[in-house]
Amino acid sequence: MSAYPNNQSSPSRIESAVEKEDAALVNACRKGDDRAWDTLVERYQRLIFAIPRRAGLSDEQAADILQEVFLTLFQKIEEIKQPERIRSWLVTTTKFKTWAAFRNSRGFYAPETEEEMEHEMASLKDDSPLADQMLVELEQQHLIRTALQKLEERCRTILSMIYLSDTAASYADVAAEIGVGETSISPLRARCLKKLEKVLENK
Amino acid sequence: MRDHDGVAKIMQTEQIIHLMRRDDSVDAPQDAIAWSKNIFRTRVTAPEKTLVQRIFATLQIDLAPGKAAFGERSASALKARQLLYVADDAAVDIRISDFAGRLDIHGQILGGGYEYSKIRLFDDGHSLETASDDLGEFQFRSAAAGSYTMTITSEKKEIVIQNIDLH
Repeated sequence: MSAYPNNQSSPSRIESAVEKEDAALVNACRKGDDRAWDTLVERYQRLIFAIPRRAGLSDEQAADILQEVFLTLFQKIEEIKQPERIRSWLVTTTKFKTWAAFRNSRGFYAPETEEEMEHEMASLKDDSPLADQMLVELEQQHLIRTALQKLEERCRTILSMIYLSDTAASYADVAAEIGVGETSISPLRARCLKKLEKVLENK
Repeated sequence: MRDHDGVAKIMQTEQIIHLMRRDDSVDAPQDAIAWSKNIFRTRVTAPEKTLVQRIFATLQIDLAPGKAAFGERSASALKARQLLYVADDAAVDIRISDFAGRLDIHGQILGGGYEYSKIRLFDDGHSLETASDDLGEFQFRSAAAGSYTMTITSEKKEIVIQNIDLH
């Protein structure tokens, strides 16, 4: 169910601002750069961890899958043909491993080949835990979080407190946190949202 | 539709807000993140290929000043202390003489292949550099007392002489 009448997910509007960075990170990893690998792990751990959790697996199972995904990436990093699309590779790999764990936890034999897995997953219903729409949303949220990191600290604080916390902070709380008057929060919020959009649009 | 762009803009902003509000993701456990990072450090890296073969020299002779080498007449005994090192198929003859409290070092690399080599004499606080000539001879002047390492670097080999005690 979408909050928008036309069920818009608009992935084309939320462009990846990090594909070039991702390609640079993968290429640096191929040259043995430890810090590039650490950055890649930090950048994608939350997205990878979110997929099995959203599918209904426990935190422990999700952590296992996270480690399996990065182990697979480590083993196959030289074979990835499009480094700039590493996000898609990670999401797909996580999806497969989540599906295998999901089936195992229910006593089903795991599909023997990736083709069988793909066939099964293609028949998933739209409201199933691993439906494409769910994964698109998780990826978009990942892109927004990544873009948020590129803003200055004040904007990060304002937008995180208002929109990302479990209980949305009041303007009074936000004002106290950043040390401004409460009436300043609304225009500041609007300005920070504009900056976030510019980052997401690669401007 | 003049307002089309404005409507589209509002929808984009609203969509971003909507996605942020629905974001219930959390960071993975720190130990899982640390494990994932450490995988990379377990990779086996091939040792760097080096064109220079390193050879550690061994001391064969250490003659104090005034002492003749075996078979020499005492009259020909040097005023300098003599050290002789062997490194593979080469030998390094080092003579250390004391000149008004400062130490001069004359040396020669015997065996060929070390002409015009870079020679470095260093310890924690000092570093001196010179080069050998066409006869493999070299010298350092006014070195301070101490325990040094000497490296003699040719195109393909490096002789390392450790614990040269200058006094």
